[in-house]
Amino acid sequence: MTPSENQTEVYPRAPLIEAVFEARFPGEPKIECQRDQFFDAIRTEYPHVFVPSLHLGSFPALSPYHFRRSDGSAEVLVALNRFAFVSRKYVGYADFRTSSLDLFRKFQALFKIGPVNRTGFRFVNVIPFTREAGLIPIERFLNLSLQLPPGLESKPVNISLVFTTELDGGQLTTKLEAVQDETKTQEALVLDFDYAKVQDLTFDKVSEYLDESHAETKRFFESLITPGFREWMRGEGGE
Amino acid sequence: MSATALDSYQIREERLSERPCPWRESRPRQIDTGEPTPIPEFLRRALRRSAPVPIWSVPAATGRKRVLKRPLAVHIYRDGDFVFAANEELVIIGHGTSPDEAVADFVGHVLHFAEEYSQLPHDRVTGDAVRLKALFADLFEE
Repeated sequence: MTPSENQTEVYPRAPLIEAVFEARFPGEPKIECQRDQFFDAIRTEYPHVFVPSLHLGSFPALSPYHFRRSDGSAEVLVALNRFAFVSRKYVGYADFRTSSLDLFRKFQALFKIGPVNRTGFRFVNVIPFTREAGLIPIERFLNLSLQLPPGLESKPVNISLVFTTELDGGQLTTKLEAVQDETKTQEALVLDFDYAKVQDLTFDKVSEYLDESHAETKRFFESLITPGFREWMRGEGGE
Repeated sequence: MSATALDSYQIREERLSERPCPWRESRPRQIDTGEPTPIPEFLRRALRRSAPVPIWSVPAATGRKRVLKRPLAVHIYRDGDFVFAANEELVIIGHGTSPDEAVADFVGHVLHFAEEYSQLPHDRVTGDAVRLKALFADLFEE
């Protein structure tokens, strides 16, 4: 299967820990005044309310309230100028799309947002690894190498990299970083994608933006991973 | 994990925080959508889940790497001062005081048992050993 054919495949060992779809728009004070009405519309599924903590210089109206599911698997972020759906139990794009758009529809029914400044689609992956001869075996997982002069061959002991790429419909920011847990037992690569659209957007077209953002991000992810890692995600290697 | 690996995280943080005055980053390093990254609570949870880690090749005693036909899934976890690297299917657990030591111990056991089982004739194995002999025989590329 080629990367372009892989748009809908859900891997049993997918490293995805969080997917987010967000819209930002010019500030709408009604959202502050009628936040309770939106909460009423979703409280059966998202009963837990988390309020933003404030610190010097922060703007309370721009910091989102979080309405979270009881098991923490998903939440909705609502602020004066943005709305987002966060999933931490990703079982495939179809399910994510249905949940996102259902919430966006409920939000739009109440607040009737017009122009949108930005949409963002975020995919956060955590890929556990063990070192090989003290180095991060990045080539096992990703088709990514740094072109360095002879004598400085790419042998990464650590890595922290952020780059933003201009694509036809938006910009894709990719963050690749090695992390370790608090007990220094487990290391992992965080591979974090953020696909943003910023031009001529309206709230009524969020489903188009979501589909496009997902397709572009998934395409990039599929072209970035190695065939060996793809097999691993499919469950090759046993337990 | 070697001392080099531990130091590399500290060195990286130091280098990332230093910038010659009066310059600053042209763009923030944080990713925008949703909440800032990494989301500490959920990242910690993901790392704590002890997802299996793939091991793709094992260094043989001769210094030559033996390539596995399929990556081995290894669970790495800590219990007190010790770190363990385990694969239930092969019934092998390696241990050490660091992840590197535990994985090296694990790999040593894999090579040892692969050699042992390859020398055992079929009529000398019984029970789970039959399954393990077949498993070890199919572990490495020639």
